[in-house]
Formats: sequence, structure tokens, C-alpha cells
Amino acid sequence: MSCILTVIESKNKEIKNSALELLSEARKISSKKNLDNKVIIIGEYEKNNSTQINEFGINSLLIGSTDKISKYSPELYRDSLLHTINELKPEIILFSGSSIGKDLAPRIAANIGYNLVTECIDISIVEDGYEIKRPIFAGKIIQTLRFSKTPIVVSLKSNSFAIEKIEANEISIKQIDVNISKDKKLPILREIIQPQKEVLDVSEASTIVSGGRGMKEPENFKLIEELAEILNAAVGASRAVVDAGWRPHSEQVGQTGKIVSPNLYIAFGISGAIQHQVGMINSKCIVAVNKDKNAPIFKFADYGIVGDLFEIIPELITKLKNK
Amino acid sequence: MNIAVCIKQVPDTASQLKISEDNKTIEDNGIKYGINPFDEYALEEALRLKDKDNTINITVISLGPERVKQSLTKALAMGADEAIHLQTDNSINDCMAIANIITNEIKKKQYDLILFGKKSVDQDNNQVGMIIGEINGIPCISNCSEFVIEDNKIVANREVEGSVEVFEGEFPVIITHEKGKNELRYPSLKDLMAAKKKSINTIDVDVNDNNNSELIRLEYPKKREEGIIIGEDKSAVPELIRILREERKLI
Repeated sequence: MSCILTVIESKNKEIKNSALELLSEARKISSKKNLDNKVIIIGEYEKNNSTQINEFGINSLLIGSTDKISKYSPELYRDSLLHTINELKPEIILFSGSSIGKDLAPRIAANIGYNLVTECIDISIVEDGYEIKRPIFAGKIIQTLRFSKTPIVVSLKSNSFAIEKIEANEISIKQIDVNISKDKKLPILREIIQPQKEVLDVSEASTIVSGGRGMKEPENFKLIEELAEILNAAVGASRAVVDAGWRPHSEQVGQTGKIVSPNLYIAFGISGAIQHQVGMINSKCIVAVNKDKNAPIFKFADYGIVGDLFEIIPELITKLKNK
Repeated sequence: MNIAVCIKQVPDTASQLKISEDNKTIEDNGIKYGINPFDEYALEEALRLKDKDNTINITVISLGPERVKQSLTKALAMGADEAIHLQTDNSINDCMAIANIITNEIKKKQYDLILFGKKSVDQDNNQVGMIIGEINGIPCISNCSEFVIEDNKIVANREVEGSVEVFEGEFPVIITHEKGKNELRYPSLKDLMAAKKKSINTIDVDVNDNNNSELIRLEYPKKREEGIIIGEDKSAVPELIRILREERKLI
């Protein structure tokens, strides 16, 4: 029986939330195409922590977890995965669109000679293979590609697939070896620079509170930070304020920043230029606050308030704190 | 030290794109082309190394049709030493084929550092740098926002969700570059005129597009409907909270 292999990631010894999207999609594909549903997790993971992994119709779970790999190493992950792929010969391999998935999927595809299609937002099964949709030009256009020959490697764009659980089932679990097969002078991870306070990344957050030039001064982002904290949201920024050095590039939303699709995106003092728009237009709900009633952002925001954000943000903070 | 910077010419990010009647291509007229922003950041980083050490030689390499020469000329005007145009009129979207063509070129010279933008903003594939690393056995550090050379080693900051991983590696090495921390330089008119006189080494390339995918169609994303303006000042805040909390259950 042919199989689908889904590569999932862990954080704090638990599977990442983004993995649930992959597992939901993998289950659909495996049941429609009658494929053995196999999942591999590389990285620190304790299966006892997790109950929900049983709810995606997985047949077997391969765990490559040793204390050697608490951190991502392209070569170690690659070689461990290649070993499994050569053994299983999956007809389709799914990766997440995370920083690990983006780095790892092309390496795997290059080594096994499969085609890789990245940033997929929809996979449908057609008579002779798969039809895959993906945004190009930062989402200004959607392309549909048909793959009539398998195997293929696919990476999914984050926050693009629904999480669907089914009744829990027994999973067969197997530990796999993690090793680097080629002995070479590889780059080593010297250190990890963590921000002083753990911050939510815009690419992973379900709510984003963003600020643009309308914030007037970098100090005023304290307001955005305070509101973000109340909403358990990530702080986002427009290109203008990143280029001005007010905010780090890691917060930039847009064509040369991150392309996000949270459940809720609240934009303060952002006019909504096309480069910003393409970065956030797939948010489930968009709220915009802007002084200028003609700002382009009101053309695609679900809810707008025309007004002074220096009055509106404090009011939001007070009212939300009082519940 | 020899540095190669691979640049792609793409439609300007401000472009409004129109799908042609065949539903498979994008109309070319009216599009302004420029260097892919991430590639330009990579080039800027290379130029900053050269600012400090003039013995560094920078070669820019670009694959594409005749118009790509404009972008190569701009790169020369910014300060690159040599430009190579891998010329083809075919549009190639198979990353493996692209990687093979570029591999043939970079094998001709001993490059210590090969730079790419993390992705191109047209096809958004995010693959070629890593594939070239794999097929050539050259380590690749992807998605870097900055890097320095220390004791003949590269030290590069890779951006990941919520933190930065600092990798240290030996040469040769491939780096794919995020938007950098440094501002891009703009060539003066004088630099541009001088660059126009520099020669671009043009090589016709054969494209073996082995991609087993077939483009079925291009379409526009679903348009968002225009929403509602809840109010004109802070008096609208309670209504906004009510909607987000009760109707949409988002907070």
C-alpha cells in the first residue's frame, strides 16, 4: 500500500499547532486515495504529552527524537528524513510552511528528485493525480497546477486549512534513528537570540495588532503592544515603520515582510497600500482604524472606525480590561 | 574572495497584474520590472563587504529574457564587478531546472559565497538556494537577515519564528537573504552611465523544464466585500467590541 508521509514539528516537547492543519489535510488525502497515513516527527517530543494526535486517523507515527536534536539542524533533519523516505517511498510528502518547512522541503525534494510545490492553499484529488492551488505574486494571483505524476512534495501555507478532528484511534508508534550520514564541515548553530520577552510571531498568531505611520512615533507602539498583550496577539508593522527603524523586520506584514492570515487583523494608522494589502488580505476578519476616511484599507476591511487612534486605542484597552 | 549574487528580475511590487485571455499568463504591457527585493538586499550586503575590502570580486548572475540586462546594469551601477546573463526567452518555473542552470554557471569559478534572495516575489517558490546547496554539496543557511565574516568564517543570523538562530560556517557557503537591516544604495546617474559601458557576459542557456506539473489556470483571489464603518470616533469602540466578541467570537 502506498503512503502519504506528513512531516510535523514540535515545540516544548509537544506537537506544534500548525501541525494540526497538516494532519487534517493528510487524513483527507489518505482516505480519499486510500493511502497509508504515516506521520513523522523530528525534534523534541514526548508522546505522552499529546492526546489530540490520535484524532487524525494516523496509522503510524515515526518519532525521531533524541537529545541531539533539540534544535533545528538542516542536515540532521534532512538525513533522518531521507532515510525514512527511501524506506517508505511515499507518493506524497507534506511539510508545513514554517521556517523549518521552508528550509527543509527543498532539500528533501532535491535529494529524491521529486517536484516540490510550496505555499499550497488547496489540494484536490483528480482522476490522474493532484490539483494544487497556490498564491503567486504575494497572493495577487492564484495558480492551479496539476500533477499527474507522483511522487510529489508539498508544503502548506500556514493558516490555510481547516482543522478537522475525528474519533480517536490507536496509532502504531516507532522510534527512528536520527543521524547525519555525510561527514562534512557543516554550519553549526552558535547561539539562539531570544527576545527579552517571549513574543508571538505574526506568522503563527491568531490575532495581530498592527501599526503604521499613523502611529507617528516609535514610542507610541507601546499602545499597540499593550493592546496586543490583552488580546494575546502578535504585534505587526507596515513597511514604512520598519524601514524607518521603529519596528524590527520580523514584525513586517506585506510583500517584503510576512504574508499572514490570522483570524483577526487590527490595523491602526495603516493606509493599506497594495504591498501591505497582499500580506494580510486573507485574514478572516479585518478591522481598520484610520483618520482618513478615504484610506484604501476601508475598501477591504470588514469593520472600520474613522478617527484618532490615540483616542481609540486607549478606549479599547480600558473597555477590554473591564470586560 | 569571490562572491556570486543571483538576482531575478520581477514585476515591481506595486504592479497591478492582469491575467491574459488564455488564463495562463500575465499581460506583459505596462509592467515595470526591477530586481527582486530580497535579491537586492543580498546584493547590498555583498557590496557592503566590498566597501570594506576592495579585493572582493562580486559577480551578479541572472536568468531570463533580454530585459534582464537592465537589472544587471543596475547591479553593476550599484558596484558589482561582473555580470552574467543566462539568456532564455522561455519562462521557467521549475526550480530544479533553474537550479541546474545556475549550477552550471557557478561551477565555472571558485565562489566562496553565493547569495540569493530568500524567495522571488513573483513565483514565491522559496526553493532555489537550498536546492543548489544540496546538488552541489555546499552548505546553505537560509532566511538570513544579516551576516558577517569573522576569522575566515561566515556568521549568519537566520530569522525563525520568534527568535534568531546564529549559524557559523566555513566557505564556500550559500546564504539566502531576508530583507536586510541595511538601506539599499541607489546608483547615481553617473554610475548608471558608466555601468552601461561595462560588458555583460551573455550565455544562451538550454532549458530542460522537467517539471511534471501542468499549469491549469490563473485566477484572481476572491474579492473581499467592502465592510462597514462602525463610527467616527472612540464612541464606536463598544460596538466594535460587541461585534468582535458576540457576533464573530474572535476575542
